Amino acid sequence: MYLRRIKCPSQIQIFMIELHPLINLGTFPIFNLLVAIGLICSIILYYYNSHNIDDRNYKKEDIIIYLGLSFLVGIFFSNIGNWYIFPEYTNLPLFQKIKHAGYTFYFGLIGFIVSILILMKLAGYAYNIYLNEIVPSITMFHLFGRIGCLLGGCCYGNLCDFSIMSFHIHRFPVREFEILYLLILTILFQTILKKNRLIIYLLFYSLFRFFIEFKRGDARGHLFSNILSPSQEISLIIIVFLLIYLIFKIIFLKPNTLKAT
Amino acid sequence: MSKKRGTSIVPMLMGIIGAVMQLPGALCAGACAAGLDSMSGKGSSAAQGTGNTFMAIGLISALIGFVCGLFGKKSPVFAGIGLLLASVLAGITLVTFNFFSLIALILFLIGGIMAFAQKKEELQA
Repeated sequence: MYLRRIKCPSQIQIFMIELHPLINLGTFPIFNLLVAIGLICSIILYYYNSHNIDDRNYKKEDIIIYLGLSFLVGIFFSNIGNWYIFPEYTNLPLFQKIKHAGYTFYFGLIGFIVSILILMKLAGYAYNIYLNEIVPSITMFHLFGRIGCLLGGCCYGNLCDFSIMSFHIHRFPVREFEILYLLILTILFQTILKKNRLIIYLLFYSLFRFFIEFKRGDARGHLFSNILSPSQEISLIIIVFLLIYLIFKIIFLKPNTLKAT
Repeated sequence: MSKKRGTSIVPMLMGIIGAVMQLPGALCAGACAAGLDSMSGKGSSAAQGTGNTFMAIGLISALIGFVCGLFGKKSPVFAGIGLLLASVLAGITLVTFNFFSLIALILFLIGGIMAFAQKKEELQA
């Protein structure tokens, strides 16, 4: 474990960020490197999955531009979201806020999905078909991001202190569990789950995230209440919206399709 | 009417990796520039201004490199010009003796050259 000391030159505020990396690499930007590797691997995975899309090759390649721009929008929202859920960053100068606020996955995911939907709609793409093939790339990118968290030391679990077969575990392995979960999701999306991937991903990831958040040991911030963490609140909102959508689809759309036949 | 497209993913890869390496490079450049200015006797606000300027140049370089790298196949000329511009901006932050900016500069330069030199294919509109 080590502490990173941040002193804002214009205001006398010192933030201590606690980190628990798997391997201490000092100030080497391992998280950034894993994000880059994750981005490249997710693009390669998309190229592989794009064979399932019935469209011209150049159109399938050009979507990478929209994915990249949406990724930037996602990073932007991911950083900005933290300015509001962590009040200690509110009074910092702009560059200090950007530098120290970090990233929250959910804000980034929402920003990315909204942005890619808008861009694909404007460019005339069949967004439901393309988004279905992009979902495994999202889980793969997230997987590498979490490996970056494991090596960088953030997003750690709370203290638990238990032993399994002389192997001592000091903190609950939230990052390891999430890496495993995302790996399983990616494999399932590539093998068995070929349709409605976005709904399945949002539902199952939100459920997982809601429960794993109870075992997180780092600062979670504040969004709507002090009872649940911001990620738990967003997970609940996503789950409720998806359940409403699925109930609407089952009750109102199914009788209409029967009528048509 | 036909349009020429690139065939290589190297500009995109160089843009992504270069941008990610330039991010800590921008932060480093800002801190080093502010430090160097302080050591030369300037006041803290002037030093902070210099630091912010170098950090902004570094971040703009990363942004231009990333976005233009994505256009490596669709618009090779745009990608090439953008990546070369990003390498110039990364080179400016190099005056603060920044290792990450050096890596970003080399990657953007390779990406820019490859964008122009890659094999092109004709696409019938």
